[in-house]
Amino acid sequence: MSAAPRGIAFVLRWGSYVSALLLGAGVLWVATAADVPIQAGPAMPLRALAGQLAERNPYALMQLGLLLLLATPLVRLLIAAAAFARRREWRQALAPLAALALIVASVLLVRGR
Amino acid sequence: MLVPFLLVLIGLGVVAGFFGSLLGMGGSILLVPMLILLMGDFLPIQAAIATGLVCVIASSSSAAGVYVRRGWVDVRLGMLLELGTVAGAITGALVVTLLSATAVEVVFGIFLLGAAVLMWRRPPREAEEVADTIPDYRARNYPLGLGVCTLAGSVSGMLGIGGGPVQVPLMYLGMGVPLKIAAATSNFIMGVTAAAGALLYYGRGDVVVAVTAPLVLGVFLGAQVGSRLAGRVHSRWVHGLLILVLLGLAALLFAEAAGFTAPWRGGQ
Repeated sequence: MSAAPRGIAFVLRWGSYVSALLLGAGVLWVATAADVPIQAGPAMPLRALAGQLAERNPYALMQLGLLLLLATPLVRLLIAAAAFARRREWRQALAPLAALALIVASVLLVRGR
Repeated sequence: MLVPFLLVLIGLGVVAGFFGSLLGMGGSILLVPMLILLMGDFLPIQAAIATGLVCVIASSSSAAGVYVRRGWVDVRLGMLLELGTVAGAITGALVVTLLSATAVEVVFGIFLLGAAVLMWRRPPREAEEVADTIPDYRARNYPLGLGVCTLAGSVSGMLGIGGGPVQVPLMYLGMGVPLKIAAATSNFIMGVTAAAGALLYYGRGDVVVAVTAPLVLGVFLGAQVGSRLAGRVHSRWVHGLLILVLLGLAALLFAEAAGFTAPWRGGQ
C-alpha cells in the first residue's frame, strides 16, 4: 500500500475512534451526573468551547467529539493532496484541494450571512 | 428523565447503524425519517437532517478506513467524483432552507419509495459481494459520473443521507467499476460529501449536540455489530424487511405531510 492510502486510512480510522471515545465519555458523563439538564439548543460557539471544557461541561466534550468527526474527512482531503503533491501528480492533488476550497468557501459564506 | 432519553437515542442509532452496515447503504436513510416522525415536535426538520449527515460521516469514516487499507477504494476516482458530490451537497444544504418542512417530508417520502422500488427490483448479489478477487478495470464515462454525483450530493445535503443508493449503481453500471470497488469508493466519498453539508448546518446552528452525540454513538455501535453479523445473517430476509420499513416510513411521512399526527405524538 502506498503512502497516500496508508495516511488516509490512518486518519479515517483514528479520527472516528477518538471522536467515538469523546462522544461516549460525554454521554456517560451526562447520564451519570445528577445535576446536568438536557441542553436542547444549538451547539455552543467555538470560542466558548475551551472555557466550557475547563468548566467541566459534558456537552462541551460531546461537541468536541462531533467537531473532530466533522474535521476527519477534511483532514483526509489535505493528506491526500499532500501525498499526490509529493509525487508531483499536480492534477490529482488539485481535486482534493478544490473540494476543500469549496467547503471552506461555503462555510464562510454561511457565517457571513 | 435524562437516562431514558439518552438510551432511546442510542437505541435509534444502533438500529440505524446495524441495518445500514448490514445492507451497505448508510443508516441515515432510516434515521432521519425516524427522527422526523418521533421527535418532530421539538426537533426541527433541519436538525434531523444535520444529525443524519453527522451519522453518515461516522459510519463512512470507520468503514472507509478499513476499505482503504484493504485496497478496495479507488482513491483517484473517489477524489475526482467528490468534486461533484461536494458541490451538490452544498447546493442541497442551501436549497433546503427555501423549502417548508412539509415539502422536505414529501421529497423524503418520494425518495424512500424510489429506494424501496429499486431494492425490490434488484435483489442482493451475495455471490458478487463476497468475491475476493477484483478484476482489472478502467473507469469510463467521467462526465456522466461527475454529473450524477453532483445530483447524489445534492440529495445528500438536502435529506441528510449518504449518496450510496445513487453512487454505487452509477459506478457499477455507468462507469464500469467492479461492484466491490464501487461500494467501497462510494462509502469513501460519502464522508466528505456529508461533511460539506453538515458544516453548513453546523454553521447555521442546526446541530443539537445533546441529540446528535448519543445517536452518533449508537450508529458507531450498531455498525460494529452489523459488520460482524454481515456474513451470518440471511441477506434476503434483511433485504425484504428493509423494503417493508422503507415503505412504512414513506407512508408515515406522507401522512405527516398531509397533516396527520402520529398517535405517539398526541395525534388521533
